[in-house]
Amino acid sequence: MGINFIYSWIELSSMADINFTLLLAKQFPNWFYWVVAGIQLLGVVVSFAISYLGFKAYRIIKEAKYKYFFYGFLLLGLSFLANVILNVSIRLGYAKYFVEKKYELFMLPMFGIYYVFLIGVMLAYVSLAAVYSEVKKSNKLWLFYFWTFIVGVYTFRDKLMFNMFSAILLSFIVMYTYDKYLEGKNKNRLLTCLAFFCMFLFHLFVLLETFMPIFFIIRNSILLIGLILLLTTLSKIYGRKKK
Amino acid sequence: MAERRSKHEIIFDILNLISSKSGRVKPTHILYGGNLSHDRLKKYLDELITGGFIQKQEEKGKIYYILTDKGYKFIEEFKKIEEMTQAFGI
Repeated sequence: MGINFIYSWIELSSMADINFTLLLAKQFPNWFYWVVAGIQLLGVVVSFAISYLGFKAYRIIKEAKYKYFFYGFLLLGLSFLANVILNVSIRLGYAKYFVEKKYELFMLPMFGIYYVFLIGVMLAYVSLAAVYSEVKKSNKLWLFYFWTFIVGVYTFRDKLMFNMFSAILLSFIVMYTYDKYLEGKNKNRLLTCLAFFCMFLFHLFVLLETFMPIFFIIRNSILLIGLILLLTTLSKIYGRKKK
Repeated sequence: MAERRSKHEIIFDILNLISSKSGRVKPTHILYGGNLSHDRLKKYLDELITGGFIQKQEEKGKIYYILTDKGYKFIEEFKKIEEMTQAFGI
């Protein structure tokens, strides 16, 4: 019964989304999707590099904010990685083949990877919101993680709901980072705030993508700008001259 | 009023002070520059020696503290963390 339930769940939900992606795949030239996979790969590199900094900070300073910062970007990196795997599978035609043939053994990992992407993104934003809202009591945060996970399970059926929930979480992060920028008037803080704002728009514009496929290009371009901004901040940290 | 320094900030300040004096200082320099009481400074110095960040050296009856490679590395790492904390506003 259990495995059948999973398969029917996949049919109801992931098929719709993968089919939608496949539909979108016919709108633009094939090379563009490789560019999208490239953007997501950049997301993997940037997120993992930032999470590594967070990990080092936590290892030395042992403050909760560094732990959640590390978790946040680690989860974001994993989500980008899951998205790269999904995108490449679709571009190479594997997904289309297996969706049509309903090849169950292949669909199960696809299902898992898609879940890593969905839930990973939302839990990443919860972690980052916790960093900026200076959450002190971790038991309350785990409750937030738990409910986000539950929402994640159900947003599997609805791409729009997933993106809207992510946009809501990001709107808080954007507001917090903007406040931090006003406090310090630091250029890097402004870049960070703008990067999160780009991610916010990336999720928000999925609403328009449903009606106007051109927004698929626009929102991916916005994501690229956001990632470049984060990369700029990162290069300033890593490129700091030794005194 | 100035904010209280965390333990790591104090450690960084001590190591940075030694680094600014070519990596080798007398305890009195650290006492004045570190803005700490004698007892607290002794506690921190013992901890830094145990951790391998500094070494105690005796020369002609005088005591010197020398920054080790691990100490220099800590300074660099800490500066990077400070930079990250500033940049991301965390």
